[in-house]
Amino acid sequence: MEKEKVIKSSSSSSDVKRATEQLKASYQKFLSDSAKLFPKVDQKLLLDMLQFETNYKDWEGSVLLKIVYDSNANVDTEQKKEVIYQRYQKMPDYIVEDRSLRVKVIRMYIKQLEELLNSDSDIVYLYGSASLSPTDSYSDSA
Amino acid sequence: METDKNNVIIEDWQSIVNKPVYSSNGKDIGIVRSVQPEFFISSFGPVTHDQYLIPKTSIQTIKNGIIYINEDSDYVEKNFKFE
Repeated sequence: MEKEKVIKSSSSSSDVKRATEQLKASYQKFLSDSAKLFPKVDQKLLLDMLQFETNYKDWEGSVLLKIVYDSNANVDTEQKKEVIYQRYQKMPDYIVEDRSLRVKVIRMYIKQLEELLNSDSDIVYLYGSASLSPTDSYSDSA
Repeated sequence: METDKNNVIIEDWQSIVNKPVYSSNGKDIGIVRSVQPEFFISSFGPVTHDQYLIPKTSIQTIKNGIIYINEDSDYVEKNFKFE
């Protein structure tokens, strides 16, 4: 009886190890795939949006989005502001280093992120923060 | 395994996170915060971080855990800074 217990315990320990390794490998592959599919998007923002979008069906897509344009493209940030306004009815309030815009948007899901990237090849990087509750506040520190 | 024009070989890009970055003229550009497929993000400053989007191909060499890039600080400020 005692022997049987020991064998069972050892077997379950290796199962746990195998499960852990498998989970880590799956997660690494998932991260690698997400980086390949969305190379211009900050991974934390992408994963947060993915989590909210899949776990909370009524998530309103509240995202503080920061858009960085190619410094070599000589972008007109005022014109880019207009483009963002036309698209999301929200005017970016903040221009940094003449190449970054910040805008708080709602109904921004992964699909919209992809559409934004596909619509403007001057964008080199998207980052920011997603929040569960809709808010117009700019207090997020992303 | 990835190489760039400087033939720097970095097998694990995550290993450069938290490493300091210096320009070609020896100015501190900050610490690597994250790595994207084509760029890495470096941030500088204790309170309000200046942030830089630096192409991976800019890495000239890595010595004693310090990343040296090809561009000087003026170029970095003008072209890589985004916040």
